[in-house]
Amino acid sequence: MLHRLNKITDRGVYGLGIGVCYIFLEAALYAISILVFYYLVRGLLTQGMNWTLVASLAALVVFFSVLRMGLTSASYKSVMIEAYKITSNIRVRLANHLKKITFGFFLGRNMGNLSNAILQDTNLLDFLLSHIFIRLVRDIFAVILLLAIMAYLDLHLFSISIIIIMIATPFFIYARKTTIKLGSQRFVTVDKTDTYILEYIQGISVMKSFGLVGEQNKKLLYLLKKLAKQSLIAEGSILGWGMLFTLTIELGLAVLLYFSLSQQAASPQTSLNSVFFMLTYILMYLAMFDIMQYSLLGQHMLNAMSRVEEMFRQPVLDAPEKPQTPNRYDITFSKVSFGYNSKEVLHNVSFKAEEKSLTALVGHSGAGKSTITNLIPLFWNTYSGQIKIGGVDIKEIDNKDLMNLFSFVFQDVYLFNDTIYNNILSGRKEATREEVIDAARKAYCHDFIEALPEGYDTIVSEGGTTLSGGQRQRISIARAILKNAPVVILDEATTALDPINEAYIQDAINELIKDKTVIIIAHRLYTVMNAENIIVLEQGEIVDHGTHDHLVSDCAIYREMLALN
Amino acid sequence: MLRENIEAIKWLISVSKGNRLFLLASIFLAILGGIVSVIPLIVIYEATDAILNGTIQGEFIVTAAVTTASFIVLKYLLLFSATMCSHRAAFDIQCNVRKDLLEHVGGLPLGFFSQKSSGLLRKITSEDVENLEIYIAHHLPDTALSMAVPITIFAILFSHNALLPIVLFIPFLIMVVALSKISKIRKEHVQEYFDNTENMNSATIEYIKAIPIIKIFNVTVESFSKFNTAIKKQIEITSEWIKLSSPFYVLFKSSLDFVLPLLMFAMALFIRGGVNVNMSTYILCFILGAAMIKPINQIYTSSNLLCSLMEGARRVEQVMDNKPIAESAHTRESVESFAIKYENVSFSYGDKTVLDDINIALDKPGLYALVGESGSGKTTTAQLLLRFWEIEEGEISIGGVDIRELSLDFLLKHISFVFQDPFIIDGTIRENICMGQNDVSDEAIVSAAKTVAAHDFIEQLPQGYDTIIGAEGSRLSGGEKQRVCLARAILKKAPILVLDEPTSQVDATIERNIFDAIKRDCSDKIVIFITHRMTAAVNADKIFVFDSGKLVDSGPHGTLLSASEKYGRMWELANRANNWSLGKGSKFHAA
Repeated sequence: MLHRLNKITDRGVYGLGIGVCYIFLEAALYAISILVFYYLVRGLLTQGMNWTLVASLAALVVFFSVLRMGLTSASYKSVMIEAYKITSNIRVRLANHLKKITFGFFLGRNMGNLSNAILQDTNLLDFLLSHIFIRLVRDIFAVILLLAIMAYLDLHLFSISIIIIMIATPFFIYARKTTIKLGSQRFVTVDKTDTYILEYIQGISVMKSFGLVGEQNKKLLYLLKKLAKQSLIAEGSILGWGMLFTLTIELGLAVLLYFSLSQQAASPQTSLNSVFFMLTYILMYLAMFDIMQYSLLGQHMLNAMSRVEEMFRQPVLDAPEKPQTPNRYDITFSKVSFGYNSKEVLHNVSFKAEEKSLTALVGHSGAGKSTITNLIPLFWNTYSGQIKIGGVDIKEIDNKDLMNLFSFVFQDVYLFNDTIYNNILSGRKEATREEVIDAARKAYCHDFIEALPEGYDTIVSEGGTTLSGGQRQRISIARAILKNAPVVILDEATTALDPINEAYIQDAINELIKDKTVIIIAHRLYTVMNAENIIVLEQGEIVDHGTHDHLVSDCAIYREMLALN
Repeated sequence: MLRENIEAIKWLISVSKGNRLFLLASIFLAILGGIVSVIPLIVIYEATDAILNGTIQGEFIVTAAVTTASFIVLKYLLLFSATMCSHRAAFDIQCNVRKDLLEHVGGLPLGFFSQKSSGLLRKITSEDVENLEIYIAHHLPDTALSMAVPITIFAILFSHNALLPIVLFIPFLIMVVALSKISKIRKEHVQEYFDNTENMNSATIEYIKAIPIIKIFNVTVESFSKFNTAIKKQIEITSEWIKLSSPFYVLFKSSLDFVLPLLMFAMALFIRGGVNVNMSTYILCFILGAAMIKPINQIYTSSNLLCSLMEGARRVEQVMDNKPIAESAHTRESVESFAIKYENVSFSYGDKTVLDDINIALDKPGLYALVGESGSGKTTTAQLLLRFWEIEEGEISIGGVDIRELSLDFLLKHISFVFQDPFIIDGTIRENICMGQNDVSDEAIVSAAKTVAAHDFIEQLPQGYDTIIGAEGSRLSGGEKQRVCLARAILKKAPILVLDEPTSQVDATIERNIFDAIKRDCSDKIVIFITHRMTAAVNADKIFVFDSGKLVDSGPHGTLLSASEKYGRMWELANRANNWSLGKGSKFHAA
């Protein structure tokens, strides 16, 4: 487990080693204290001791106990602090890793779910590493040392104990298996219920208008009751197996009692050893039960770790060995094929988008338009064929430099939870205030920004009501204008905005694309009538390309689309 | 700590309704189990005594073993039943709290549900309520057991020797003191910790959502400061917390380790004083000291859990504290007509005026359009009809009756509302259109789908109307989802239809067909629709033009075109936008 952990953090888990050493010493002193007590009692029974010797032995054990206290304290402190550092390091590494994962990983994934998974899993790692780990280690040491004492005290009884433990172990294995099996079953129900609860809340108005609130909603009731029932069965059977394990071991006490009493009745010399044996056995199984609890908890940690590992396994973009930078910005696709999972969606696509020209991608939904625009900035790197910018293979360009070549205008606008000014500035950090305002003017934002009470310092809140969709879009265009990247990739909006906003956005886009290489996904053919090159896609293949006039006369599919527009 | 426990139990009693018996049984059985658990140790003591005194007889051997075994089994039976009772209660309480919560939010004004609050609500209903389980199912019987065991132990020891219990009692006292100190420190830090965890969570979510932009603009993680600050702060807070509480924690953990040396001192004292104590009594004391460790550790763990229980309870209560929409004492269930009237309606959101003196009268069935820029008040105007929010001034009436006099059920039954974001449930298309109405014929469903031009694309799906859509199923485009929602609203057969940008993602040709069909099939209804497409607005019998929260003009398209400056400009811009094309031939530049 630690080995796996070591792979996902670059702090190294060896920092935990110091704490483990402390706790080992502590456990050893614990075992020695028991032995001291044993010798004391033996001494008192055989030759009688004077009170000063007893008192000084007591003082010795006090000293041990104080030492143990110090060791425990040092160990917990170092492990907890180290654990928090490790998990923080994992969080930061994970965040960095996510940035390097091919972009496509994020497309079409529910970001809320993704971040929840990351959060919960790292929190779980955090908790178990800081709280459970060291206790588990302590109990394992204790069990080993106590078993050693038991072997020393009475080999015959020791072998009986080992047999008892062996009989009990299958129950523990069952408990673990049940935890994994029923746990994951329950997880599915929890997930389903969760999804429905969210659906219910988000659609509360629809639910209300169809009389599906609370008790009246049969599906909700069914799911909630099913979850309760399933949880009870899961917990009950895990508890059942776990208890059978501990019960068997505790019953061992009765067996040991029987044997030691019989032994005693036969030969009276070994008396004290069998008494201390049972005592040690009790101490041993108390520690053992804790081990069981902790290791069942640890199962959750392993699951969480698997999910984190899974995230780390996502392919990342390799940095090119000799990065190159293009000095012109035409884009060529030669024989590019690409599929998500096993389904190929682009077949052998070749085209060239000339520098500073307008290239439009048209076709029905699912024809592969957005796949093409996602491949140009290397959002996916698992395609075959070659994509070049200015004659340089995009895989040979350093990813940071590559990103600097593009401005994107998508329908879904993401703005940082920051001021409007900083949002625009993020296009090019070294820009001056004048340049930021100039970009805002060009994107027709300046006036409405100035009209806001806080002006450029207004905070853009997530899902906030301060800005309308059209205004957010214009700010994102201002950001792109400031960035002044040589290639602009546009996805024409499909959702209608109000005419005033729409007109502003169109003007802003015209500013943005001046003297740029432009690739646009067009939904209205009218938008791209003047494009130098219109590429008509159908089911992942290019069926024809050329100017509007050419396509009108030569391409039946284009004419059909035109008629529908 | 005791006070927190009492608070928690009070809250539990208030939500446990049918489960109180199970909770009581669980506590009772656990206490019994705790007492029984000590008995085998007493037998061991008797055996020790017999061994050390050499007085073992044949039948004693069997009796001792059998007694030990049977009490161990009994203990397990008791504890298993106790835990099952508490689990049964826990899961049932969870189910009930969730049901109550979801029932309660059903009665809240719809304005309560912004995007953010629905995420929060989900978290409360799912995760926070989930946390209740650990406390109820595990903590409750464990606490009962943990109280019972030390008391039994002290009682037994006391019966053997009046002085020896002190050996256990001193460490026990130290533990209690340490524990109360730990919970005091926790109380001081836990809020900050929770708050920062929340910050860290939201920073993470924000970071992940922003990854596309972060990649494109080359922002590094280190510079994504909020995320990093929260993580660093988390380390600081926890380190500080650990630093403060760890001495007490160690004191707590280690105090029982002093049972042994104290016992040895006691032995020394007794020897010196010539007091004759049985050796087996010392050993009993040692065993009992060890047996106390586990239950007492449990108390520590449980007091940790208590925190999350109370946190969850607090959140649940916060939601429950939101007042449902006030229903007047004598609500009316009928109206003479469905004529809608807004009289001098004003509304503000915080200190921002959203609507200012709106007057609208819709007397007869027909198509009514609300147009205007984003944020001009169209959506709010429509939502007020369903009492999403309570208005401050003026009156909205249906058939001459103030909507506040009408029951909510009545309103919801007679108004079909289609929202901007199409709402699709996980289920088949049929289920999505019917929404729980069982008595709908296939013809009615198909005819509703035809009205909104959805029939054709539905037929093309692999399983037609039985195709599963939603998160798990086939993906529909935005425009297709919108049409499913429209079909649902049409099928409901309410006399009033309110459509908020119902066709914003549908292309122009299909939109035209939909409006033609609505005009034909809904001629007996009052249809209010909000739109940004001027080509759609043209369909309306009357258009209402909004500008910054005011209703500036109204009338049919023809009249407005010449009479309304605002409308005229919108029409002109819309035409311009529709004829817009990129590239060198672009005809329009800055407005």
